Amino acid sequence: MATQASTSIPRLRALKRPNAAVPIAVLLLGLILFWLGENLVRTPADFYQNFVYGATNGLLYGLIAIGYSLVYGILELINFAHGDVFMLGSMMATTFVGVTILGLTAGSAWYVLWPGIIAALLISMAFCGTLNASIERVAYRRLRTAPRLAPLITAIGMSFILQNVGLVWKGPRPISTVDILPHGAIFTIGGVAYTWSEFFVVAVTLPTLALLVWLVQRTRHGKAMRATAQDREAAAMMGIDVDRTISFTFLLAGALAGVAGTVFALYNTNTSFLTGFRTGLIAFTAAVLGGIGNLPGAVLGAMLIGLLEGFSDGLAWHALGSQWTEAVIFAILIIILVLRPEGLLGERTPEGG
Amino acid sequence: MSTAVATRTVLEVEGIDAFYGTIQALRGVSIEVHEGEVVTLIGANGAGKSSTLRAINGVLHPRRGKIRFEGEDITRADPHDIVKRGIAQSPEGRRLFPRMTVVENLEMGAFQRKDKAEIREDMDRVFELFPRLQERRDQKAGTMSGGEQQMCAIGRAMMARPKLLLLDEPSLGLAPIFVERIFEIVEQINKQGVSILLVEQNALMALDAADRGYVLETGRVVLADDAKALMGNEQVRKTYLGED
Amino acid sequence: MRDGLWAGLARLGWTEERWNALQSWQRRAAKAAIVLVLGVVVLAPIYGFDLAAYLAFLVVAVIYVPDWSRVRYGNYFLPLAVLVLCFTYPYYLPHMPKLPIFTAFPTMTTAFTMTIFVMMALGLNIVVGYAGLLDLGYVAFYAIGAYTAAWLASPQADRYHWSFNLGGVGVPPGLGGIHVSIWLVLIAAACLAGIAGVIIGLPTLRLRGDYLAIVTLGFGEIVGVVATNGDCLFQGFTGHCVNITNGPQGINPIDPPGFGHWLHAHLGLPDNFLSASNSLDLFFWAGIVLVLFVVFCSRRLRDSKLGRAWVAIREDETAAAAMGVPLMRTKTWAYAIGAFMGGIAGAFLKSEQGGAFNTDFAFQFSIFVLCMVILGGMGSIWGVILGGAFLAYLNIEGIANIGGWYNNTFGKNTDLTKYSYGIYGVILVLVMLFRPAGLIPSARRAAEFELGVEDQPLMDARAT
Ligand SMILES: Nc1ncnc2c1ncn2[C@@H]1O[C@H](COP(=O)(O)OP(=O)(O)OP(=O)(O)O)[C@@H](O)[C@H]1O
Ligand SMILES: [Mg+2]
Repeated sequence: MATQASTSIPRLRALKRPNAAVPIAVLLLGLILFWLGENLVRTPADFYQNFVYGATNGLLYGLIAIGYSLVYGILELINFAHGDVFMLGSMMATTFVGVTILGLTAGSAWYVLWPGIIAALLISMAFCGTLNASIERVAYRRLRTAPRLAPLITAIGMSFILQNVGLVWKGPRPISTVDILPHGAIFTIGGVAYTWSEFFVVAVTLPTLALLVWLVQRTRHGKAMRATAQDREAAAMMGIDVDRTISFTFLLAGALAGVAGTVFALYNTNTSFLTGFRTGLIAFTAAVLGGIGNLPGAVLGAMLIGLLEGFSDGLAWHALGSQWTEAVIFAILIIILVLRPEGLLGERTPEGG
Repeated sequence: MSTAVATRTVLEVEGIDAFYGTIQALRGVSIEVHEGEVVTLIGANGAGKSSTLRAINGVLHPRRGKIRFEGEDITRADPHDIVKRGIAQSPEGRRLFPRMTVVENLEMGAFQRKDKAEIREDMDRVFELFPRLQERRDQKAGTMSGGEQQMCAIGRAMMARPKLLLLDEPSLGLAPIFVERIFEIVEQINKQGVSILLVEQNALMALDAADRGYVLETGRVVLADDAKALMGNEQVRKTYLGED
Repeated sequence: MRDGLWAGLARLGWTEERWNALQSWQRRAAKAAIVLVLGVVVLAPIYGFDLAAYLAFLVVAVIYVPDWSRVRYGNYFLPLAVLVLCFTYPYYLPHMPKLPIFTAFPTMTTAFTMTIFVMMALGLNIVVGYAGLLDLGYVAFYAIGAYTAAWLASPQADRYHWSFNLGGVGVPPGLGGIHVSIWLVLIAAACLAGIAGVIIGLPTLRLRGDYLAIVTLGFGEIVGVVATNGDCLFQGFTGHCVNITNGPQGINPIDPPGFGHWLHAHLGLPDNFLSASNSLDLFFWAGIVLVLFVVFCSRRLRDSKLGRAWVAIREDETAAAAMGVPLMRTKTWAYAIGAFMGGIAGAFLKSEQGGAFNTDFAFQFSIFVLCMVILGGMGSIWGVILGGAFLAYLNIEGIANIGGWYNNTFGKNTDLTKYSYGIYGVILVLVMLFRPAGLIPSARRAAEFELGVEDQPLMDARAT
């Protein structure tokens, strides 16, 4: 009894949310909206262009962010290597559609082009999924019961290793992917075209996300994942093969990174061994912004971060300029973590302690 | 050992040693459960009762010794395999999935089973035993009261339709009226042909409900006998039934 | 390994019991003989009759083989011996034999940089090793130390027409800007970094471990961006640039360390490290002295009340809070002190290099220092010193040397230094998997890895 009382006091104090959060958030939001509105009025074309660009990249970040969220949800591990798995996926796709294997070009007939792209997607998914699951098997599994820092540090190490794999594979300079997506306009707003290549990103991403939601919510595997995430030992006692479930989660996260890598390579037409680190951090920020462990949150966060990046990179009026974009994103990450660590859609759960 | 009823042995634990890191929790523990029996494990805090159940369930692999279930060696088997063979546990501290509803928790208990219709039936039976759960069926398990959670945990273990049910302190934190209810339910489950291995702090009630009992002390079995005999044992009366 | 060795010996009739039954002097003599014979067997084919190699080996054997802790004051012997070896390094370095694979012993410049990294690693060790807080933005404190030195001891301030000289050394006449004596700069850098540590720490230390890691990483990255774009800040508000870091051009020249004419004349202390004839030795010795200071602080802290509070929150934050350990204050102190040491190291390194450039302050740097702590052994001072010295050596010379050896031996032409971060990654993973408490583990940490800890912090922000 006595111990219970004494532990509950500091717990309550620690859980109390700083009351500064709300006014600061409102103020920030107001400022950002005002800034966006002003930019929209002054340079509508710039605004639309960066909106499209940002939203498209946001979707891509969403695919990666979900990978962080899935793994964090089940192991409470920030899988630093995830961004680099994505990077290797983009290299895989580049290699596959490029001269080396398929030799696709913008002029390829549609019945060569689309099966080629789908094959690239599948290969990249298989490659990244297997890679991610193997990383878990080799590097993280032994450390399940170690102090939390241990797997995190291992993940950082893996990230560096994968970066160097990319470096050895493709060299230090950015490599370009053949530009095979059609660039014709679907429609035009304010003089800015929404092209097929942008639609391609949507057309791949949304079904993938829908499939994922179905998988996690409805299937046996999904249920096993949720149970394992909430209480690993209890899950084992229910007859869930915990190791396999965790492997499956990594496989899934990796496959998503593979999709993202392929789409990224085709849409942005270049990649480099450093892409993964930067993109990974941005996607992780997105996952935290939405509420880590929360899948819709990850997508929402990613859209917001993507838009923010687009606007910060491309708008002119009173903008900090693209050289500050990264700092802005990290500043947001810090503010979110400090003021609302459960993210936009997450709910605070005191039960973990 | 006086095993009055000469039935088939369901579970045999043979001299297991188990460790947490370098700390030894079990030292040569041997236990038997026969078909249709209620067997209880009693002992002071830290005696190794929960560790024994965890070893049987495969979440804590013993370093030495053997565990056999229905004659087959399950010492090194994985928990999911053990569950499949018919051992279910309601663990110490309930360990529900806090962010799943009552129904979802119960469904998780039946994770290994594929027979949809019978799962439904079993769930209805759990609701019959615990009408309280029926009322709370869509509530998140983490938000329920301790007693309700305990009911849910027992129900969840039953959903596996086990041949052997491991109950770790099912009466923990319950009001006396509920404690009695839990013991009634244990009896009912047992009547349906499920063997039960029961760990309890409340030695009196446990021995009352059990056919046989084992007394654990610092990781060793120090006494093993008929429940009635144990209840009459002076040592037991002194230490565990609070008499002097 | 040990068991296997004994099993082999037992077959030859030498059981462990028989060995233990010997007199202690007999055992020691036997050990010494074995080591010496082994030494000669290993050394002879490599070095032939190079006397220096055998001498060096003998010195190491004398320090390492006997059980000095049994002798009176023997516990001081090892640190003292290491210290003497360090201080005299410049004298015997030229006579040192070549090393296999690594090619050569570290040069004086390398040795100096090693001391700086050891200092940083010891600083980070306070945060990561003692308090158990993962800091991935340690580069921020390095940067603050570095830019403090850059402002207080270079022509940079002349841009704003602030000029004065307070014991600055080696300043050409007529050069504007602030020129403060390096020793004051070190204090200022340390204090500023410490304050920055508190400022970063206060809002973020409430977070659970891995979130804290991310926030510190964010701060580290922001510092990098600021260093790059710091030549033109606040233009939007003030209409003109405020130049803090001078961007990619960097701030240089930074004044060299030294004690100035007066102290030189009266106490014989070196006037200017850079222009002295034994310049490299001076830097190195100063580095060692600073390391000693940091080691002294670390030890005192570890054994203090604060140190015990760190252990408590590292192992079980909830319980620590329940026992009345003030979480925020305890963590903030760890942060501030770690930053303090990073600040000193950063400032001194820059005054040796003579300039601060934006590219010095990348995320990789934080990981590099973290690697040192992990490799050596979190929380173990000897371990961290070893880890810091070894990785710093690898980074500056070692990998290049090994690469050279590899290319020579196998007739290849790869540039191994390109992959240095991959190599550090491999080190991190291998250490975590096979020797998670580090090369020279602290006893307490080793136990934590064996048994696990309740390191779930108070506030859990996990979502559904
Ligand atoms: N996760 C763990 N890590 C280390 N030691 C443990 C762990 N779990 C249990 N132990 C130790 O193993 C021994 C047996 O513990 P166990 O939980 O089996 O006891 P118990 O009989 O169930 O006690 P109680 O009646 O308090 O539940 C104890 O000494 C305990 O400290
Ligand atoms: Mg127990």
